[in-house]
Amino acid sequence: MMRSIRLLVAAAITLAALASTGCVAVKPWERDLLARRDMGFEPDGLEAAREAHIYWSKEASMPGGSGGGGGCGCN
Amino acid sequence: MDRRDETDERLAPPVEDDLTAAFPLPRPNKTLTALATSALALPGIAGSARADAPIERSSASFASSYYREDDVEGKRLSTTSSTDERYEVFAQQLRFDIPTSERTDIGIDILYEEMSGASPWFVRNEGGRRVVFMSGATIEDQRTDVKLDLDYYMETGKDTLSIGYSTERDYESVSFGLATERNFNDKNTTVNVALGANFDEIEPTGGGTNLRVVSDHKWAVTAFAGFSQVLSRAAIAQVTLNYKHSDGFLDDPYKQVAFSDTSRGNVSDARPHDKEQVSVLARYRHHFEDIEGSLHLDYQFYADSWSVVSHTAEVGWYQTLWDMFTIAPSFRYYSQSQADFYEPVLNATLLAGRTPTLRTSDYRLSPYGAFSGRIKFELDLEDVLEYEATGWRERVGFSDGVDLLLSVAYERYFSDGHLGLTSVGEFDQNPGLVSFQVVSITLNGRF
Repeated sequence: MMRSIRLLVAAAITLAALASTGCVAVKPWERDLLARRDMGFEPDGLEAAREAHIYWSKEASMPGGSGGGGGCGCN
Repeated sequence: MDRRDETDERLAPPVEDDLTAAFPLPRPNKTLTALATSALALPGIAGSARADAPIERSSASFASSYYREDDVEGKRLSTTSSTDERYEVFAQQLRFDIPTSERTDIGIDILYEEMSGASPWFVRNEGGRRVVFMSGATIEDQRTDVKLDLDYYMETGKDTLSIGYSTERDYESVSFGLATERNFNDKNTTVNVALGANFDEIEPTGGGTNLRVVSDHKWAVTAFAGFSQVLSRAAIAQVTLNYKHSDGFLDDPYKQVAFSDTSRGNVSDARPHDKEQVSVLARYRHHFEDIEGSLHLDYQFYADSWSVVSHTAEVGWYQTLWDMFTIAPSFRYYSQSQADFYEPVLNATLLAGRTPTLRTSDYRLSPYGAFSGRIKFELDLEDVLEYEATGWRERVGFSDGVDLLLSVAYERYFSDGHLGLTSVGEFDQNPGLVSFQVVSITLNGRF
């Protein structure tokens, strides 16, 4: 567990370093490709919620990006 | 989706000025629609898979899905188990997104699902094998889940308040969430932070019999931090950190643990009363303009205080054809280690007073790996119906036409002890490991 927390902290520091470089500046009018639906982290919200609930119910992990929602998931 | 129209607007700077002129208050740039989705929907954590710009048109989505688990293989089923059938679930989902002012919108999620079938009850030794004994009676239950998100947008980000309620015959859950999102670096960098809590009550069917509690409860708090960075005109990455602390009744009342000597009675599933979970999820999206395809790469590392460590890797490809069709295959690999108190069958030589205070035979806490493959087809139809939006229709975000998006998906999931990063032998593999398939159809309308 402590090892995992150290890993998380290391990841956070790396990210902060990446952000501070500010090396990329894509202008708003250059974002036609990034704005495509198939470039979304979760292009289909209902599907993401459904899949997260299934994996959360059937595996030990918790979904990272989107929620398992409520419910027992016992069976 | 109005993809082409939005693209055209985006190619003609200054976009922000145009948008600002259309509304009395400054609004975040519409170009961020579909970019850097918040992905904050941990249970009770605000903000689902929605864009970080206010919606301008109402939309409604309906999805219907059928989930079915494979029957238990004959060699893994106890000869005294009355059924080899497992679980099936019919689920209906509805989602509405409605703009309520220049700075606010609301999202409403409603889910209704019907579950039936049998589930693994305990594991026993039979004929030199480990086999699963299924719950005798068919379980039938329905679950209703309602979630409400309220978004408030400002020039540099948004705040979200979420509440959720889920109920089924033996379970009730209430959740709350608060989230905030801020854009930096000319909106090339997005930071999300969220906090959530949920309170759950369980009253197991047949409580007081079969070693089941009559009722109990648990609560949990969740924390989330996300960071998204535009890497180029066609690439974006996101890393999210998740933490969850759970406290209370974390046992599974529908599971038992058997002894290797079957003449000795079973004992209940018993887990710690608290649990810490952490995960790091990294996601990358890259669009290849020449071939109109987008690559999705996801990886998640997970660890908890019950000693489970897992790795999840997913790769997907979204291929657009003739502007209106999309075909999207994806593959997912998952591997987990076992919980430290997982013991499928307890040693019969243990004295009564020496039975471990923590124990489970649950396949979900056993070591295994899983592969799944999914294929999805989408049909994107713009302006299928034109009308004049006036009065209340205009106020709730109707424009003058309807766009439809129809998608059909199929997923196949296999799990097995051999598929784990640390392979598990045939004898040690939990016989209750699940394989399933899911078929779904989704219709999304933007009005």
